[in-house]
Amino acid sequence: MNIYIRSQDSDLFKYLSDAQYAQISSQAESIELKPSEVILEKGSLPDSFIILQEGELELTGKQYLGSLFPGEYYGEIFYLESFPSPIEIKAVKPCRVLKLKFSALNEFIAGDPDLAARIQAAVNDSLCLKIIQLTHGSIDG
Amino acid sequence: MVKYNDHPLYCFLSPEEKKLLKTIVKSQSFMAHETIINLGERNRDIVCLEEGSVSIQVEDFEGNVREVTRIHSGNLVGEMNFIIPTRRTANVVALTFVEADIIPFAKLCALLKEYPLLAEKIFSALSLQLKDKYLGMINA
Repeated sequence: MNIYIRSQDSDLFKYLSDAQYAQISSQAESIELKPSEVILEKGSLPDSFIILQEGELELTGKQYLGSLFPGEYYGEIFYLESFPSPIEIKAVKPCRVLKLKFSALNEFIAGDPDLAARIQAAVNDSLCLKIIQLTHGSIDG
Repeated sequence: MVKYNDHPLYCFLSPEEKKLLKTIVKSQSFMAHETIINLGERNRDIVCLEEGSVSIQVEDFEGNVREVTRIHSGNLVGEMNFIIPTRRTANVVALTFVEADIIPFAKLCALLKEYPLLAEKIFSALSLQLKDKYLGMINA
């Protein structure tokens, strides 16, 4: 995004300060996944961001939609509006993920529009990159 | 966050916030066949189609023009370019008379820096647009 400077490796929290990042990441649940284990089922109603810390996750809808690598996340399409997931996400390798409930994030940003805008800007960056990935097949960097 | 209407960019803005944003908006009309955005431009303005329809066109290596899609009033053009700095990836040509609200990149950035609540609301509106675009692509 154009008005903030990236300060963190994590794509979702990239525009937060170290203190803000520490505070919100402490609200997330850490989960270990084995290869082929599903973290998001198609048709389920997602209530969390899935933030990949280690490993690789595969996104599948009607067809393969791409992979997530450490620092990347999923769940941005469900953040503002709830609907059944059109995709499944499963581990390709052993993975460590953080699950951060939307409600926990909303509580964290409540009453602080600057913080909320920084999260929303990061969400938009990620959505744009996912659209570009679908358009171009893959993207570096 | 209160959703006031279905406008692709102003949907979460109160009347006062909309008035504030409108101070930087340039309303512009285009005649049918007139080019609104040229492929390759570095411009990062957001274009809200308030009236009319546009054709999104790309050129192949031999210079042949191919229409990729059509976008109608009530939608945005160039919103991804606002978020991620790339050259314009297509020509946008008016199919009909077009009335557009053009939000200049630099002025919008300055305004959003000054008013975080406005930034949250504009980014949320953009997020809904991007989400629909993404879903449209994965469900196609």
